[in-house]
Amino acid sequence: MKYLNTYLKNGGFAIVATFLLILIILTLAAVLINISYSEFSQAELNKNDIKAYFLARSGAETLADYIIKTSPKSWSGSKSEVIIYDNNTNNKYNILSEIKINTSADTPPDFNLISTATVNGRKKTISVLVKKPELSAIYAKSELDLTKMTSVNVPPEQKVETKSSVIKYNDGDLNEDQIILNSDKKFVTVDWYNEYNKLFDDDENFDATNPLTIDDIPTDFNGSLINSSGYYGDLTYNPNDSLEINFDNNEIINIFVDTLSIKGTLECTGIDFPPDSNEYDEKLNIFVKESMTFQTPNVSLQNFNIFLMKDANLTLIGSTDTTTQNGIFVYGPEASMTLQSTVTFEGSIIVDQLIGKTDNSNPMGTFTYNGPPSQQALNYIKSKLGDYNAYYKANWSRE
Amino acid sequence: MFSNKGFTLVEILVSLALLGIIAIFIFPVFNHIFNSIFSAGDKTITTYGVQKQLVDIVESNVNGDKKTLFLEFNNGTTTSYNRELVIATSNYKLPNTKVNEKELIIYYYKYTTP
Repeated sequence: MKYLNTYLKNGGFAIVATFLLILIILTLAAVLINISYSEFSQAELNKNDIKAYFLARSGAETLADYIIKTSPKSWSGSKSEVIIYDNNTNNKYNILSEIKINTSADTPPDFNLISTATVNGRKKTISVLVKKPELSAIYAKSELDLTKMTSVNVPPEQKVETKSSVIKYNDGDLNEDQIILNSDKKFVTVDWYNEYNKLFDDDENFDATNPLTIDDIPTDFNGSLINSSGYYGDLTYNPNDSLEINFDNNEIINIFVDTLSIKGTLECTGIDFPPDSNEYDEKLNIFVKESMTFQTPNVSLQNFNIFLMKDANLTLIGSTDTTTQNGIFVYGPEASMTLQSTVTFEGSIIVDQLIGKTDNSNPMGTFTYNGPPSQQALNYIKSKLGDYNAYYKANWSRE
Repeated sequence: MFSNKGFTLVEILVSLALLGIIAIFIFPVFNHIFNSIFSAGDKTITTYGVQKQLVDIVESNVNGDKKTLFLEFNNGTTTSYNRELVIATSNYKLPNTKVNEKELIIYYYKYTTP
């Protein structure tokens, strides 16, 4: 103030005021430049973060899908790395992401994928856990309605799972801990023709370059004995009829049908049942193209698997006093299934839609999970699933 | 105290000259600063707009260009894998008046339908 007063007393202070004004303007400019730089930096960070995020996600999903598609039975090394790049010019000019793969010790292993993408120095990381299948007692992708059943008995450690956001069941039938909603599991429909053509792999006269299709092979089979794998068209067995499946010459019998209705007796012969602990080998696989009705599933066989093609349907009408079957595994991720009466399962159900049916407004049907299946049966099921995208994305997170 | 003598003509002329010189340099700077701030804001809005656009594309069944990606494992093996490249893009304003806009592009490689 002393100097200012001196100037003021001596004359005008226009120069002083001008310097002050210039100082203010320069200060303002400095502040605005700082704000501008911050805004610019933040906008650039946002842009690079988002670009990096989508590249990291692309890389993680690509590798996850690759694992799901190839379903590796084993993996060398517990830690490995992969670089994913888009290469149109034979130069690695466009690296999507670098992924660290941590695998669990078991066989086949689970995979923890940590995908990192960098754009202009900004890193984003996406983690995806790819797990091998853990079969739930019931998996119904789009609809699971058990409200019309008299009871559902699933042990507490077993799960009931759906991709949809709701499972319909009566109070007391299931615990909340057993329910898995919005499941990410991914099952692919059975390739019926491919499975059929596998039957001829050992046939030296079979032309693999021109494989057979089901429609090329008409069948007039209407007998009561099946002792070999094959395509059997439409099969109907009424209450007084019986069908014998004989395993004398085969460990595995694959029956391919358009429709199958068994309201009579299905008897498996040539097997060791109840089997010794190490002799669970006989397997009956029924591949259904359109529909299957199974009224008295009193099949005495350890490994009994039903594979349903897309849009096929399976109706199980159990006979309450004669059900003695020891294992049905139903696999039809795009098929529907109806439970109409007392049915006891040892194994798993993987379908698109599973509904307990009502009759004259009265609930009927009982689902009892009596598993888990034997380890050998479980291994067989998993080996089957291995051909159909066994792995699935369990969860993912980002940093 | 302001009424003693007042400003001299020289003081005022020098002040005006100084202010004029400063103004010549400072106004373009201010202009650029404001344009930069608005441009940065526009870039941020555009970035989130493009992100939303990409999420909409990903969630819809819009197909992208078929691309072959390469997976190079650290054990020396390389394998190829098909994906579809989807691109979301939009322009944001630049502070530079000679180039008015710049393109903002986000890439995403989505699952390809067999």
